[in-house]
Amino acid sequence: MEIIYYLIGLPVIAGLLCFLLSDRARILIWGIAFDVCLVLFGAISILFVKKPTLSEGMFMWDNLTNLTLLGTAFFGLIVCIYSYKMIDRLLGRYYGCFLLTIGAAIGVALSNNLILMSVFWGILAITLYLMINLGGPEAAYPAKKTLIIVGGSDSFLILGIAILWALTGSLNISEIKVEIDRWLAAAAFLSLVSASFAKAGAMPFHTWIPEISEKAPVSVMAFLPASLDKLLGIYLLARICLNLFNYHETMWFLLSLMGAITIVGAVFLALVQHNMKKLLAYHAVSQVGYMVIGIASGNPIGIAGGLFHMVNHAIYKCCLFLGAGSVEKQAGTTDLDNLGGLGRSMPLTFIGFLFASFAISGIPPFNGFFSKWMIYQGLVESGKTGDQSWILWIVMAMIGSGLTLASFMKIIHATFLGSFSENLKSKDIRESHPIMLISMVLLAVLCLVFGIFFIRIPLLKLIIPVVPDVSLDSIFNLPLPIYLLLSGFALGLLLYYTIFFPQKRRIITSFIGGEKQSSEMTISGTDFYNQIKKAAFLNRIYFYSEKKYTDIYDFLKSAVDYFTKGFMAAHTGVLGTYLTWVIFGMLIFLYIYIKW
Amino acid sequence: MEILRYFSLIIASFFIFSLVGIMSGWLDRKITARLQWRVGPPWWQNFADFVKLVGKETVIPYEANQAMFLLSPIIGIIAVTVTGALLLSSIFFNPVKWDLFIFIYLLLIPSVVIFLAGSSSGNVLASVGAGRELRLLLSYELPFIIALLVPVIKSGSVQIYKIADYQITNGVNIGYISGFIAFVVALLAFQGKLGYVPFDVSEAETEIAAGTFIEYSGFPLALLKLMKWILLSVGISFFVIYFMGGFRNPLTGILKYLAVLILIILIKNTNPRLRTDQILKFSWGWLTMFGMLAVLFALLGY
Repeated sequence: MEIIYYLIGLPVIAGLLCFLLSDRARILIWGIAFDVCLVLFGAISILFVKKPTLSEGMFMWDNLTNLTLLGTAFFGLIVCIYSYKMIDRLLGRYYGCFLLTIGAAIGVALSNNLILMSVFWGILAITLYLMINLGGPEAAYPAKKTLIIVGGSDSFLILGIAILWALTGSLNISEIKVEIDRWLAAAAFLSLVSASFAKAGAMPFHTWIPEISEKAPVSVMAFLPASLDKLLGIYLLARICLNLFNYHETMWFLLSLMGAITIVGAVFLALVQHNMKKLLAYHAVSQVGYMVIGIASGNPIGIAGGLFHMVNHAIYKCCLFLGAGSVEKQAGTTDLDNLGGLGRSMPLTFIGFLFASFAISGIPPFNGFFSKWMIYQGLVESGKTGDQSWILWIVMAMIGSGLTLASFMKIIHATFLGSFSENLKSKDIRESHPIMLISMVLLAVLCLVFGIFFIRIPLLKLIIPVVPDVSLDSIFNLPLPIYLLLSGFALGLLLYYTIFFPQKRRIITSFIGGEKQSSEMTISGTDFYNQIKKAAFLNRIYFYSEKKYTDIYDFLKSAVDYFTKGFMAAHTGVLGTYLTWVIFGMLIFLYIYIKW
Repeated sequence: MEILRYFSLIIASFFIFSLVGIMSGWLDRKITARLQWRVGPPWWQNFADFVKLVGKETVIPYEANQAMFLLSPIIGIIAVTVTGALLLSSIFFNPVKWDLFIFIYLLLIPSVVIFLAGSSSGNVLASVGAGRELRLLLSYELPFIIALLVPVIKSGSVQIYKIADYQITNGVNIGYISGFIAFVVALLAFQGKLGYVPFDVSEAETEIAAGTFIEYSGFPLALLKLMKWILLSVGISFFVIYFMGGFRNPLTGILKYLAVLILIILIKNTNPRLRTDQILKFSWGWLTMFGMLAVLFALLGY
């Protein structure tokens, strides 16, 4: 399979080439990146149809790989097109890192050897660090934090791989299938799962995503945490749960628990955010929970739902971040307090954003509904074995979905609807550049297409090959409501426009209490959920999370600080003290040598 | 020809549920009036109101997002009509295949529509109402989901027709302790979905002048009113099917429907409006606790 070397080598070489070019060669750099993305997408699409299979040596290629590769290439292309107008400085570094990321991602998806895979993960952590740093000097701290969490999770990965090697004597995914019957196997499972959680951004390793969201360039957010990291992180989780380990009740219960906590915890934090990008970032965390719950349900329809949700999430979250980027570009801010009424001046962005919001909230007939629906089916199915914990997971998942809807309606109100913000009156706000619109509208349309034709396109083409034992009978329940909804919309809108439009309409300025509405009388919508923040029991959770007690990075940092305090006292900077220590140490070594 | 069946089902659902809903709305007005020692309107009053509104001129505020402002009502009508069509679908399609999850998610759409209607009108009081509508949605959604899971636990299926069949052999859900508690919790949560007192915060005529609907007039307002009426009849019909054994015997079916309707009207008339924080505390506290109790009873088999 020589093609594998081309697939990985092409973006890596092109990326290294981009590093050498200066900003003046703008078109050239973008052209290289775009062409490479296009070629990769074309090649992977052809390979996707051919379905090559390979599972020996360093590389493997099965249907799950196929799905991940197609996602990587597709989102690479979309974000590359969007970046043309979004990124205007440090182009060489941006596109260089961008292409290296794609190359490394393809490597992760293709590697069969676990060591090779961890090397590619390492490259991904470094390129992620470099790309976040493009946000300017303010991005330095979040970038460092990300590198420590994501790069640090590689040590878990390597630990897990080492234990697996000790248990089975093999490093190839295709040869390993471990029963979790010993503590050692459980430790390997947990460390590998921690690594995949950190990379996908599930709790408790999620804190890097909200932290970088405000500082990193939006296209980086749309590409990495929103789509690519989810694809690859969940790819790793799926490999762990489906290939490397056999089903084990307690471990899978733990997975579901973490998934459910991730959904509800992150969505509560998202509700009260004042910045659009940070709110979206918390949702990028929250949605991982659905994928984890789906995969942890342990039956085919749940796993298929989890993977389907991964694909859907990448589509709508990428679209939402691109929308946030367009708003930032036009209005100069993503602070929800300073936005409002943009729906009239940016109608296409608004519609795209609205579609993606409906998709993420699970409103039928958008794609998010179907993947959630399949996950719920999987949970109900898992209850038939006698384990009743599914009730808790299903309630948490569904309320999480309701809270998601609420927080997205808040964004819609504060950004696109409501009254026009006073802060924006001085600016001439227009629809964003067509190139930025193309990628966004394409994704929004995809949300709808993947929803309406959910069996024919995404399930049969993408998901069913990966999880072949899904019984289509249970899925075929859905078409009736969906066809009803579609024909209802067709009929309703047709009648509405034929009956309503001829009627007379009048447009007037509105008034309240006999006075014209003035700019002091605006409700931006950012304070919709302050009561929830203040409600008993919840207020403590918000307090703790604001104090960063739940942040594993700060937690570890303070633990390290605590343990190293003694050593720090020893670092006085006085040469004499150091020399004393050195001589003392040498004496100890001398003693040991003499003794032996 | 499949498509014709869909269309006829939707049209049938629209007419049946809007007729029943408008009459239920009249009963609501009549009983409310009698409770307040008034005479109350004649039976055709709601039809007259609807027809009058349809004929009026539509006023659109300058600040509004016009497309959204005009589209929201029709989306709401379509969503509730389709939900009703699902309830009727056993007449046209056999066996009926739809489940609880799609029902819950379809019922989210009316709330979203009310929010979008308020939010897009660019009026500050409408914005207040829209925010309240969302908080209301958050509050009642949790106990609503928990309560609706109780029959699923009892019958072991999420398919509505299986839950309906289960009640033929094992007795109606409301006859069990768990089913009864779940019914009460779900009914109170549904009161919030309808936006009826004590949960009418998003409209609150006396306080924020109909809130989300403040800028609406003419045909769109008529549609919004109709949406609420259809939602009322669809919701009650669902409760009758889901908890009380359904409409197999038409006469007792109608009596069950009237019983639930009168219960809703009585709750509406005997309670003052709550603040949103009180609603939140009530729903996430008492209602959720009783919902969990019902789940526990269902797991134990009561």
